[in-house]
Amino acid sequence: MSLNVRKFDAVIVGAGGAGMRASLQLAQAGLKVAVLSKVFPTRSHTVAAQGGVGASLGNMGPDSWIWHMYDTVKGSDWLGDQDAIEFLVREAPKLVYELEHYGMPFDRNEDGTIYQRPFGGHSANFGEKPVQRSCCAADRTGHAMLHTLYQQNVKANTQFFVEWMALDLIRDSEGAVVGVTALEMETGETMILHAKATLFATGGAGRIYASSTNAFINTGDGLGIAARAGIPLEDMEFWQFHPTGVAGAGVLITEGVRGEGGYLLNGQGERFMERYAPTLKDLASRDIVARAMATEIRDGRGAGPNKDHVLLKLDHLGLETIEKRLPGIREIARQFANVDPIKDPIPVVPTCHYQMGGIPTNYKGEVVVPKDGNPNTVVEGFYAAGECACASVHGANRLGTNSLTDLLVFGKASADSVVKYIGTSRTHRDLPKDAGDYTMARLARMDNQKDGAPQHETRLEMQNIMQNHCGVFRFPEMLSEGVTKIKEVAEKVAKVEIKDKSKVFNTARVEALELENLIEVARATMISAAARKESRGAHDRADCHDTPEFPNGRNDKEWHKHTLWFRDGDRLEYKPVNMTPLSAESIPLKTRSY
Amino acid sequence: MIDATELSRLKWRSRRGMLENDLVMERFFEQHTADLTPQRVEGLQVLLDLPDTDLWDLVAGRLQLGAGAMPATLEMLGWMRDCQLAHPR
Repeated sequence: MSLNVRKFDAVIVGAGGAGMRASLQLAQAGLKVAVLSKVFPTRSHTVAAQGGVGASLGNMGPDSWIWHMYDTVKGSDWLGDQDAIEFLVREAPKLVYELEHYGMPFDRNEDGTIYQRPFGGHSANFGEKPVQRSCCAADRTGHAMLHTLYQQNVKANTQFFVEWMALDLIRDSEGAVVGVTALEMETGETMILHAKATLFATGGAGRIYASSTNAFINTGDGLGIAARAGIPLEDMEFWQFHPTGVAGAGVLITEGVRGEGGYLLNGQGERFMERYAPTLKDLASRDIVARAMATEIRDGRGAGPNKDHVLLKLDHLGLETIEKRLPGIREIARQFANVDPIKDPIPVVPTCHYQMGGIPTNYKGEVVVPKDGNPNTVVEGFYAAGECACASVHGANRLGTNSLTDLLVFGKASADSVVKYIGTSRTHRDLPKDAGDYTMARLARMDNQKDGAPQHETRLEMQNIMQNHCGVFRFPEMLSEGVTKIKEVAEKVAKVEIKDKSKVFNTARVEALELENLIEVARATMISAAARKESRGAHDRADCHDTPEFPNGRNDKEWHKHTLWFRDGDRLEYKPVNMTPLSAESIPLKTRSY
Repeated sequence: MIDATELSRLKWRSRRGMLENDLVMERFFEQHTADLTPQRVEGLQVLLDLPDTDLWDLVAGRLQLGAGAMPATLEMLGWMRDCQLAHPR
């Protein structure tokens, strides 16, 4: 069966911050662009970003991109590529000023310059003292950014395809990417979007975990699509967790609650942080608190009928403090935990927040794969930016505020690369004859499946396995069991059955397609994590702890390298970390301590 | 009750950028699908067209609807606010 084909200069998948920054660049360059999005652009998950954009404007005191670079490399636990990090921090101020010019309502100083907030991990003079580097629009930075970019795109006549879901990448016999297949939800039609360049900006896949702060749309579609097309996924073992998300919901409870005197209890009513951090107790660093929580739950001391969470007690703070100092907490607890924290503790678990790994790219946003001995060979016609991409600037852990910086800088950079690639004369490469066959076979399999697994239950099973076996603190035996279990679930996903076969707005089909993307990310994560036998950044293993030989459990001799997971046979390869910045001096390996 | 395709469309358009709103809307449909009428859907649509941050502020009671709001919109916001967890832990 042949599919309808539509031709564009470029196709962008995803209309969050990265996708819309990229589309703006392409539309302004006069290219014919299609931007596909599952939901209306301003409802992308970028809207949830509160922390601000990190950029060394120096509005509050001396600052320098070199210091921002140092903080980012250190945050990454030296797994970030230093060429990409230099590019990120040097471009950041330009991108912030450009947004300001587009009308972004940044908070201001009295002299009219952009106000910058302090944020954890940002320092002046290589860790000497804190620096104010985060540019915000109240607590709605992501929202303001998304709306500003959307307005600019409307002005530039960007063509949005709303409620379209990309399904598969189309590659020709030479491996070049020549477009995607996509499903238009309103009609149920599948189409081929034939393009000179294809750019992924599909965001993260936080929904692989049972407890996640990510919105429901964050199903890692771009990663699943890339993996099925033979592109490896890089550093997928690294996920940033937040210690306190509401159990069963994922909604974030700010760390301010512990700052104000709230503390954690296990199922036996014990204030367990006293055992793990006798001095700082509940004010110990994020990693230590999350690790202690995970250990209590794993050792059977969790709370609730399934002993699967711990409790955050704050009733002793009193109504006035809670309402005044912790606005919104009471409403979150009431809505999502069914408790009033004035009387009862809030059930919480370590909760997945941000994906550091993704589709491997260079600092120009071009997708790169190992080929003929070069670990970073460019895949012709394929680009990625934002959380779905791994440039890699976040390495093993992301510095706060760098997610918005990342999507601006690499959204623009990847689009600049597209413009350069297309130039004035490039024509479309031919579509292969079988361009839509793979997608049609996947859809037919789904429609004809008998006695297969139900979507919803299979998704929950995957999420629970990821949460229990590959969460914030990782136990070797749980990881190896997790590998077996996630492969079993992957087999179920391959046979997922949908009861509703209707065409128009069939959300059951869309959710099953999302699950097929999620499972690729889950497999990549579990297998990459089980293999990396060290602790580094957000990958924290119980069997690799702090020793004089391996401070913080980090083993640079064997593991200072990027993981590449290939879907075919769950194969792993590794590639070196780039320690050579574009112009700055290299920041040599050092123990990470704050 | 509204027809199945319309309901699917409405549910999909309740997929939000913020998890808080996703969860509120998931519960809303679990508890109130059978009670939806064309008029109520119209009232709901007004809320769904709002930015995520405003929608959550309304649900959390930090923001109030203007005086000119449709009765159906007020009613739907009330339902969103009052939805309790279907499966309390």
